[in-house]
Amino acid sequence: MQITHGTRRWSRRALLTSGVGLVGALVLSACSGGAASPSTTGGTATAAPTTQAAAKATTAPAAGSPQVTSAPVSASGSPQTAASPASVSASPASTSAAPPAAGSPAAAAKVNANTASVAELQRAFEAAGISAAARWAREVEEYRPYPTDDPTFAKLRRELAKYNPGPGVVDQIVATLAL
Amino acid sequence: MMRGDEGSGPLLRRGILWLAGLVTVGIAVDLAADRHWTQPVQVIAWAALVLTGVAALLVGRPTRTRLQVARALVALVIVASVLGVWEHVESNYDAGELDYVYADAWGGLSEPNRWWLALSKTVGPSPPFAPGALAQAALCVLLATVRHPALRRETA
Repeated sequence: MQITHGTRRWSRRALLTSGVGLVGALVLSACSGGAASPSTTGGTATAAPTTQAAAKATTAPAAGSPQVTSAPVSASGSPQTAASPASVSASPASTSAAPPAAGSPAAAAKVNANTASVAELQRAFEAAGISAAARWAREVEEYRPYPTDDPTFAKLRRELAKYNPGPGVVDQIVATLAL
Repeated sequence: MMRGDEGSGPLLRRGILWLAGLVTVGIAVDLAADRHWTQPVQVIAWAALVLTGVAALLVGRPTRTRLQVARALVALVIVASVLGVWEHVESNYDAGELDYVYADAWGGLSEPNRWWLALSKTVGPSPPFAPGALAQAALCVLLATVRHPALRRETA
């Protein structure tokens, strides 16, 4: 009887130990999965581009397009937030893109973010001098639909910021889109 | 000695099933917060969650057949989990050229280097090993079926 009682005690202890171990493993796996993403994205997105954007702000002449200047700062922590609006259309793009001069036909050409095909989006991005236009077009299509009452494209900015784009790239993309 | 172990068996099984349930709910909340439905392939994760839940329910009301079906479902979930890890890494790989740090250099990097950057989530937004949590939940359910009395009872 005593032996059985002792064994039960031991079993409960083993149960507790294994339970704690499993919960620990669970917490660890949760930390490695979920928590890693925002910190990594946020870390790279905020720190590095800011310096570039700051550098650009001093060198680039201020010739910002209307879309760019009205662009919100809603994509908090994203690189394009740190970039000054003026640097977007005037600076040599950090992602090796050569943005068109403000007011050029390419800059004015807009496609509907909710209805344009990927090919149309790609063409518009290419015309705007955005590098990796095909890839960005797919991303824009992926996160549809975009609310028509949000001309600032806050949702799109939030989603694209996850990819750690160069300063001004998201502004360039948004500048080619309409709702 | 044996009596004590057998006594703890059902308790352990129930506990591990609850743990599977907790993990499943946690993953569901995480997927919902991440809006994990923007691409068709992302729905696989939700399907795997449903399968895990069904498998846990089957093990909760065990018969030999139900346990075998539960094991088959668990196997499917584990496959889905491995597929998820691959999809996340591949998606990060594809996003490499969008990352401004690597945009210019991406084409010049070696393949192993690119894959490492994707695997380590240096580029891309997808957490590579997050789908492993699905496998963890599924393995909990599988563990609850090991040496289950219902299997023995109907075999005998």
